[in-house]
Amino acid sequence: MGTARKLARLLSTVALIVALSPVAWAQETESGETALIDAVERVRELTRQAQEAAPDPSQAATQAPAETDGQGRPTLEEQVVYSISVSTGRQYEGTFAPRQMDTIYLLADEYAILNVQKTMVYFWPITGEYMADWFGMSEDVPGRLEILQDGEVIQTLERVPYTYYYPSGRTGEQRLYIGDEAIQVYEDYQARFNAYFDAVSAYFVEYQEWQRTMDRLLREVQETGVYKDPSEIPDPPERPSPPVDFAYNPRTAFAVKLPAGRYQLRLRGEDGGIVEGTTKTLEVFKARRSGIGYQVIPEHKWTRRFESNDPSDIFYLDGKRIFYVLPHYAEEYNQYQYVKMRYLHKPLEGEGTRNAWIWAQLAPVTGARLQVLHGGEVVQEVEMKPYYVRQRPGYALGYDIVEFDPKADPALQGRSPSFEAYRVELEGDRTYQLRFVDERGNVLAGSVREVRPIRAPGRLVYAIPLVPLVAGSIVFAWRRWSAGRSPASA
Amino acid sequence: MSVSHRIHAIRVATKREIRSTLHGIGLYVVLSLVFLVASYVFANTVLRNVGDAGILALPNPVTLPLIVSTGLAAAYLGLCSSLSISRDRDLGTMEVLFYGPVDAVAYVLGKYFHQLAAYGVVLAFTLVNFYGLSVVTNVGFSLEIAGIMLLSVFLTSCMVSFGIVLSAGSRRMMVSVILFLGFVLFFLIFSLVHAWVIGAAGRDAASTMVYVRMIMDSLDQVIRWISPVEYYLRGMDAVLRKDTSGYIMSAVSSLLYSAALLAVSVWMLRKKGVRR
Repeated sequence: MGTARKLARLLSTVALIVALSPVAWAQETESGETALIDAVERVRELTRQAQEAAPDPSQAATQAPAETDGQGRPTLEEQVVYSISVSTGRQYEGTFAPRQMDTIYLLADEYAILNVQKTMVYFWPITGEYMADWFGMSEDVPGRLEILQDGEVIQTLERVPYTYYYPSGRTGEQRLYIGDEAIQVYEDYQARFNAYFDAVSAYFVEYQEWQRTMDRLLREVQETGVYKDPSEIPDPPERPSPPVDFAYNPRTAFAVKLPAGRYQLRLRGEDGGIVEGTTKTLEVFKARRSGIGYQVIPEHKWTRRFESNDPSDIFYLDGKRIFYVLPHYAEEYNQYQYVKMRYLHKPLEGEGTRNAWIWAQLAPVTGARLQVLHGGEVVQEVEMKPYYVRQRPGYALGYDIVEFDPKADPALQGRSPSFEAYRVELEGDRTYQLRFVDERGNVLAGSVREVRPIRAPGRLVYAIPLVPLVAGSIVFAWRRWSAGRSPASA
Repeated sequence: MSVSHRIHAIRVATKREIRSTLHGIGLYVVLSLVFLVASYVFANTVLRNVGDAGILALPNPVTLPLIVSTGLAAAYLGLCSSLSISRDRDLGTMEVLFYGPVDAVAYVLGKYFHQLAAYGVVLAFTLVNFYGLSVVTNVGFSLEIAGIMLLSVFLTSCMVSFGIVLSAGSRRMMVSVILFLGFVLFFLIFSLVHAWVIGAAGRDAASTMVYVRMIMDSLDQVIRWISPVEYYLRGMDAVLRKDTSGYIMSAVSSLLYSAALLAVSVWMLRKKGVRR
């Protein structure tokens, strides 16, 4: 995913630099509106080409990186593989199933994108993973995907268009759209993209006009020596903002969504036969538990966050404490299946963990309130707020975490908050409960945590274990005493 | 031998043995030592960590010392059952008993119920000890702790049956003791190392560690069915997940495990005879 983003960003930047040069030149030489509009059109076309050339983010994750060039000669083998894009709850990640992998792992009731493609595959021993040269060769194998259970075909899938959409930019939230919706999302994005470049064209024309007006006013002031009234000076035109969202050019693949279970997969080719090397086992698994995970930032060491995903966890405090909570949805999966799902192209990943379980962090919880309870009563209700970590000035070490409010504190203007979280301040003298509730006041399942202040018991912790010894000594002494008093003893 | 005679024989044997256990000082000394170890673990891990960190999220910290205590107590009773049968054989007591109204079934079940009854006393002291610890430190005494305590009865059942089957199968006391301690230590160490290997080695573990993990995972496929510790750990996991069916499954499988071992012990006693 990172490689795809870097590549797309690089392509866009290069296109913009190359194309904006004539814009600047056109402005400098005042060669007229036509040259400017032509230059903006070139930028638009180059950016569009760069976007369309951006590789599928799921495949970029398993693309042989350029750094491997010249590090030995791996044996490339043409293979029919399954390219796989799976949701991890936060984003879609890419892996693939080369010929050597018999089983594909997917999350139950979640869409996964599978494609059967011909590509060049090799095993890279340095990192212990199979790599594919998707950029060099990536041909869709025509056919329909058959899903079988207990030997019966239960679904036959055709390739459908899909796209990834990023509503707040490529580093933010990622959404998958399938079918007509994918095309619609992309067209909407393209419409905004075109509108932006239309606005840029208009901006440059208006800017040139404004520049001409300013030149005229300046000349007049120089000739007459009379300053202009500020109301006569026009405001410069406002530069348009580019769209913050992004949508990938739709591609086609098989969109698979199944309930938990064991299935078989195969591709039936256009000639009606099964395509060789496409028969695989499909293991679809679901979470064992789900809940609300807490990411906790203690105020006294804000860079040392810790996690609490298990609802049976208890928060233990040593005295009065202030901490910040970032909630997220969390699900517990079998570690082997979860790791294999994400890194199928790395044969050693997840091995030896068939009986282990792992919590996966999903999307952050939004629109909830944090309630603090004591004795069953809500004693505090906390909203999520932005906070800023301010280093103390001078030689003194330390920092203060303050609410991020640039209007109230001008020193914060132009800065970004360090984090957004729920601030909790608890006295270390009683037991509390924390929980999250939604807008309607319903408690979010798996969000309740007990908070207990811990007490230092001193030597008492070693006195309590002596109770059995005391009891045993009493029994033993009583037995000796009663044996001494019995007639037999006498 | 009729069922009523057999039940009577079991009852008499259990009563006699438990009286002897409770009137001795051994069980109390062992319990105090076990609880002292648990308190040391508790004070030097959880209490110290919370003090150092200021705030920590943990499963109930009494769980670990409780597991240590009940595990050691169960192992002690398993060892006692193993010693008891070997001693009876060595001293000729077994032969004498079998001339009387006692058969292999009554003898084995008498030994088994004796140790379970002794564990009832252990459990009472365990409850007092850990309730006391949780009150003085305010760590909380939850239903899960009670669930784990109850589950330890099944661990003890497995340990005692394991001790009985080893002593029924060997003619020498030393052999049965060495075998019992060897197996229990192996099971304990295996469980600890397996948990550590899975927990310590992250996704990017070195390939050597991955191969170690793979070997341990394969071994675990077998050991999980023969180690009493594994039955207990599965039940404990179910308690922490509030998985009632998993808990019942763990308890029932522990009972089946015990029943199978006791049946094998009876068969061995019949086959090998009761003479020295």
